[in-house]
Amino acid sequence: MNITKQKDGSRLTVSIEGSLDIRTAPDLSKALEGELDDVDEVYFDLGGTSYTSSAGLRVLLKTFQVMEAKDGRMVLKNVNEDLYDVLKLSGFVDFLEIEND
Amino acid sequence: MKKIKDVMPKGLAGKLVRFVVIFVFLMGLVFFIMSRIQVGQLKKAVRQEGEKSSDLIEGEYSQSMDMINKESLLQLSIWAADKTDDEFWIIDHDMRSLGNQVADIYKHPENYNRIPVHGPKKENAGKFVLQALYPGDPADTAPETVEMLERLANLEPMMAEMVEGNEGYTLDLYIATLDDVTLAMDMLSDGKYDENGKLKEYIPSSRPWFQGAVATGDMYVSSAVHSFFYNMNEVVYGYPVYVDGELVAVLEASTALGVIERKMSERNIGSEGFSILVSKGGQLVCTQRTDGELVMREDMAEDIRGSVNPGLAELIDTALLGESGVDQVTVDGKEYYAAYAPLNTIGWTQITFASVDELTEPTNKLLETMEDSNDDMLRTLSNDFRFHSILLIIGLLAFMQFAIIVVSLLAQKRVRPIQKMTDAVIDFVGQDMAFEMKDVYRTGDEIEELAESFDVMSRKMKEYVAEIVENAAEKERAKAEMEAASQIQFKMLPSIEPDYHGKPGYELYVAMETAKEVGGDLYDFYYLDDDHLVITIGDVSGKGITAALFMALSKQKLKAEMILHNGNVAEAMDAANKRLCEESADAMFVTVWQGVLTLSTGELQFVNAGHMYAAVKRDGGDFKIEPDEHCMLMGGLDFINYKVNTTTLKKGDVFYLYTDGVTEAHNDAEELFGDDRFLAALNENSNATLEELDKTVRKRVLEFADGAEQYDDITTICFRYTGLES
Repeated sequence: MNITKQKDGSRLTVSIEGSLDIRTAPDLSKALEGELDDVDEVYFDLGGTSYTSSAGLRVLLKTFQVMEAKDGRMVLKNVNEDLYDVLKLSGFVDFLEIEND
Repeated sequence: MKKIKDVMPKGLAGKLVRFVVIFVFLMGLVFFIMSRIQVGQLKKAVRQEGEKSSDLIEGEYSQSMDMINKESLLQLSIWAADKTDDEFWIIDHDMRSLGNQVADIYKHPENYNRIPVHGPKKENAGKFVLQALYPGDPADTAPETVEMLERLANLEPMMAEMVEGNEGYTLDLYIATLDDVTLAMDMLSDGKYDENGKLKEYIPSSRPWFQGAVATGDMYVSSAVHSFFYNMNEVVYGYPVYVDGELVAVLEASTALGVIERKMSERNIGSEGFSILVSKGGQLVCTQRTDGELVMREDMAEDIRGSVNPGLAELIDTALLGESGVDQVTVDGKEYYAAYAPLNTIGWTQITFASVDELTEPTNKLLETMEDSNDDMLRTLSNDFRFHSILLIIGLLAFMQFAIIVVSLLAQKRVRPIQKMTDAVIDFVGQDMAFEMKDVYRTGDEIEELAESFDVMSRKMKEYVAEIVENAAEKERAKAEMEAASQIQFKMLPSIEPDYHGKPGYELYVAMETAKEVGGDLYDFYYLDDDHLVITIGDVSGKGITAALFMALSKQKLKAEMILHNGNVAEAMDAANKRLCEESADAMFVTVWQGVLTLSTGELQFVNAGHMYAAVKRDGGDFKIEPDEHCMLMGGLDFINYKVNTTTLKKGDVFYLYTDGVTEAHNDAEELFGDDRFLAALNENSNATLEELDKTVRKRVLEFADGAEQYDDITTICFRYTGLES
């Protein structure tokens, strides 16, 4: 998995390439540590994400909780079909903002 | 060798000694090579200098020597030729004087008395005596001829003086009359007789000198001829005497070639030098050669230019033009300098030959001497170098010996603390990990630092070892606790036997396989009352003890709220979700499928909170993934209103519930097991017992993973509605 972060003012864009599973999710969690304090918007670009397990979901949920707490936004971009299925399965999709280019 | 080996210190000290030995050896080698190079250069310089001198001598020096040789040779040759010519000039002069006297007698006979002349008398042999020679009987001689002979006899003293005064060169003097009577002045009175004691008949007019003189009308000089009276070769002169333009007599003189040759040979150059006399016509007159190209010819009239080598012939040509010069020619295959000069009186040439080898010998000798001296110097240099090399090697060996001893002593002293320390460290490793600082290590250098480091290390090691032992114990304890936790967790989960087996209305099968000691999956089933059976399956995100705790909490909350809400599954889950959100730490969540099956009717009310869709087999058909109204997983957001799905099961319909460990099992190629393989496994024999169905699914998952490590727990619940007998 490859994580790219880009901070643009109060917006943080995180691009994730590869599989976001129980082995790699801690990496993403670590990558986000401290990054969320001074941002209002977090964009996850999942265009290169092949797969996510519940562990990955948990990181997204945690980020969502943090952003909710401070009235910020969390947006998922370029969510592919498989990923969407997983989000849908979790029921999470009802609460998420999803933007596809 | 063995001795040296014994003496050589071991270990570090040995290395130090070896280093010194190698260092000294290398120094010596460098010194040796450098001196070798220097000697080489010196030798080269000497050799070059020698070659330069040799070249100089061979070149300019020998060239100048050559010039000097040639020049002096030419001068000598001119002088020698002059000397030879002198004799001819004297004869020429004498004959002309005598001719004038003879002419005067013929002109004025009355001025001269008659002196009787006699024929040759044997007893006069060896004395210069005037003799009258007649062509026939003396009595037949004309009286006026006799009278003239007697008057000519007045010239006896003059003729004797001329012959005696020029002894050697002038053998004789003749005055021949036109009627062949001869007046001869010589020492050979007896030679006029033949072996029978008879006077030889001598006809002057038949002699070449007579004919030559008459033909030229002036002094005639023959080339080499054989003497009539002497048994020798000679050069003969003829001089005609005229009175008022009338020939009256012819004079003769001769010179023995032997005499000229002897005189010429006295002026030869070197032991190999020689000289020759060549007449106008190219005849060889005199030579000192006894064989080869320049030997005296049998036919003395032969022009030798026809038989000698072309170079020599050309030289003779030039010489006979009356010139003088010097050139290099070959005679009988040997190189000679040939200097030629004319004999002006008679138009001949005298050529002086000097051996080139002989003349250049001093130069060659000088060169040889120089080369010898060069070789000597080079040899001396080599010998000196060899001697010094041996000295150097001996010196080096001695120095090495000295260095070994000194360095050994020094090294052993320096190395002693290290040896002690080494022993201590060996003990340290082998026994008690104790290293004690001692005074012997206090050397004030790196050794002391090393010892201090060892000291510190030994203490730290002891601490670490203690810590490791403690940690290991801790880990063992933790592991034991984990196992206990696992057992407790497992005991928290209900079992089919005995309460849920063979009960009316349903068949139930459950299986759980955890990837670690404690899992995050949960399941539950219980009766709300006789007709309502609650079935729950859930999957907590995360692993380990926290997941296990959250799982226990979830199971407990779900059941408590179900009971509190009297089986209203949506409300119960709303409430449970709120509780779990409160308790959740670090975004931990749980997906839950929870349903209530009414055994009497087959009605199934269930909520799916983010869990996998169930695979359902209806009406005896195949298993299918059956989509439902999905809701948010639990523990994530606390404001969720869960929606209930309601469906009615017919007898024989089967619900297969599972956690994502099934469909998300993966192989080494990172492929997921997926819904298609999952359904295919279920439908291999969809009418089998629940246990067989589940085992087939698990078997296929294992086959698919093919040894790849599974991270997720796999939990399955399978129930078949069988209906109540009414």
